[in-house]
Amino acid sequence: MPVENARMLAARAWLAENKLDGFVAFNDGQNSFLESNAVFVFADVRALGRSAVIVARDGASTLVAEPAFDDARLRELATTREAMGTDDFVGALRATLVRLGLDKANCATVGLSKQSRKLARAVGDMFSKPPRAEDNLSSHLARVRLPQELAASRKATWIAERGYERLLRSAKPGVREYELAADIYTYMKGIGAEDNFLLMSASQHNLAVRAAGGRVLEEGDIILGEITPCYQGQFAQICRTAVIGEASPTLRDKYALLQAAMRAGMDAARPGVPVAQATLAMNDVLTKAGYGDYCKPPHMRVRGHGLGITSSQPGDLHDESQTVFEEGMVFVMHPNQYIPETGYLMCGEPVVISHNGAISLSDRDAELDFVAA
Amino acid sequence: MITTHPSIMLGSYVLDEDRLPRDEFDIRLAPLREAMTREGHAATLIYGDAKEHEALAFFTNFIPRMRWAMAMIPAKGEPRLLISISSRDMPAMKAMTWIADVKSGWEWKWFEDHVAKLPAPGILATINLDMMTPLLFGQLSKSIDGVFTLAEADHVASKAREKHRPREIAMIRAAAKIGDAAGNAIAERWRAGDDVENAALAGERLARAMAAQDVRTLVSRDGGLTLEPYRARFDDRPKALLAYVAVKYMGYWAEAFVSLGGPAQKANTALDDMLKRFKPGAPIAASAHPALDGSAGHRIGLSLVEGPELRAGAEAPAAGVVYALRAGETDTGAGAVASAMVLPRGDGSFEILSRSVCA
Repeated sequence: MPVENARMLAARAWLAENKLDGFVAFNDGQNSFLESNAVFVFADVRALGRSAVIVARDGASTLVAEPAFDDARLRELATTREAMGTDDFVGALRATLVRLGLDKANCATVGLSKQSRKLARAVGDMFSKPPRAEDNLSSHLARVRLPQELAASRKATWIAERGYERLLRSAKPGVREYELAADIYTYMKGIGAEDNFLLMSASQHNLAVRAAGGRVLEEGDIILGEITPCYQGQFAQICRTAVIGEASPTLRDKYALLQAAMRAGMDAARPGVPVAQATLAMNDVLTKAGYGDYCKPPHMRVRGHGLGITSSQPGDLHDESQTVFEEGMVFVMHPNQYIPETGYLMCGEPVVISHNGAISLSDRDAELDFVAA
Repeated sequence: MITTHPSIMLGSYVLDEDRLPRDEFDIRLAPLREAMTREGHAATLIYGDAKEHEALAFFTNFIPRMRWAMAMIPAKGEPRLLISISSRDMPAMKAMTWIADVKSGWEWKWFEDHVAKLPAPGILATINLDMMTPLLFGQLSKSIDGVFTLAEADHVASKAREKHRPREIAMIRAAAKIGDAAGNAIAERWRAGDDVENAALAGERLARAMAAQDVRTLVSRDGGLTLEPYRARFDDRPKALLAYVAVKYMGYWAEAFVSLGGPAQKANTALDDMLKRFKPGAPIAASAHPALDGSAGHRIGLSLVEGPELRAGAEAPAAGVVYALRAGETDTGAGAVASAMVLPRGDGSFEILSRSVCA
């Protein structure tokens, strides 16, 4: 029988505290680099289609996931006590609840509000007592990375940095954005990236980073890369800026501004400190340089964010967030910013919170880089 | 086949107005507008998300890279598209659709502002709102409470998309060429000695370099009996190759199975037999391969699987619709699948858009 993971043990304690008999955690098959995949948190496997983990306080845990042809892989990888692949997801889920006696018990659901209305209705009909919605349970329980998860985050960061090195080697005038993206995406997959939120685009004056298009790279282009591979369920993101040819003194100065904002944010991000404080520390550097009016959308989005797929905590880094940093939280910090003189620039690292502030997981933090014209 | 959905769709989705001009969308929208006039609906709401968006893409060309989007097509006046994304990213999103009025769905006022311009009280037709999350639906319901009621109109979209339009078939044909190229690359790297994961990666690399917007692969690590997603395991080289590759180009999918060794010849013969019988009105025969779960194929286009799988006793294929067909065989611990994309014509003949490597 598989050994259940540490999150499952915490979940059982939570069930006992809350006098609940069980819960069902859902995922719809979509993987967001920003959000918690509750099924992965409790079962250690990403399903291809819709999936659910049914957990009973008395010891049972079952993964039900689409499709049937994935059954052998699910059984091999899942750390729940049972696992099954099915082409009748709703039927298999209902049958499992009945078999475990949870259909008539006091239960909670995790992530059901993020599923389709159709599925939510069907699940509601499976219980004789309406289940309690606890959508943030998985993200909360996984908010601080376990040692093996931190190791996976470091490996994901290593992959991202190798991907960026590849970009610097492969980018040249005449190459289309999507050709460059194809090269670095598959290169990172070849060294272990199971997924990748990859935005990579170029312009003489970027408004933002976007997905690669058909544009042909030219001398003087500023290439932006938001490189976000996932390794064993841990996304890591680096934000990078490279110039084809020579950079103007203005561009160098403005990039140094983003680096200073990054340092200020890292220094401020300590355990017990609210997210807003680190955000304001970054904004303050840009405001003092005269760009305060641009420290809001559409000139930037947020100053960083949590990284799925175990936990979305600490959430978006914005100046109103009162979420408090905890030691061991991992997220990306990025004072990416539109600057009128240069266009959008990117500078960011995955960081882990220590007692002394945020520590970058990257071997080499963002610099303004150059590609031969 | 169900495959791993990526965290974002990477490729370029910019609307190519030479291939899909505005008049194409006028034609596509005509049944929707007729239905609104006939039923007295004030507008039609069309919902889609990153995973499933065929109706939304058909009417707007917009495909959410992540999260959701909703088109609001009024019976009279200009449409609006709401996208669940930051205003920072809006300029890039606008390039993906013919709709000029594109707003961030994170600011719900843009929904309420649009609805406020509609004649009230009234009825809003809805397409695919069952796919919406309860949270978002609750927000929408609150905004229209007491002013508009909702009437499901999924059937209107289904009717409009009953057959693939000529421009759609042209796109699927282009996607099929990329799928073919990817399949050939997989076979080439397998023959050169690569493991199954690296061979599949070679196919993906080529497809993406040919401007594929999305690429999905599955491989068999046991010689063709089962299929699995990517696992970063680069040492599996079973006695036979079975891989699956699906590519999306300009919004349209193509797929191919690649089989080398094992009962490949038997699978080829089974596919030949299937194609001989594949004509409007003829019964569908089930596939014998365990990974195919009895499916002989499905319609393909804006979704990888459009509509139900073709199982034994399924509805007969329709002329003017592109299908992805497959025939699988197993034999002495190995398996193979032969596949083709076909377009049945009204006269009982069909065009083969692609046929996979199976040898």
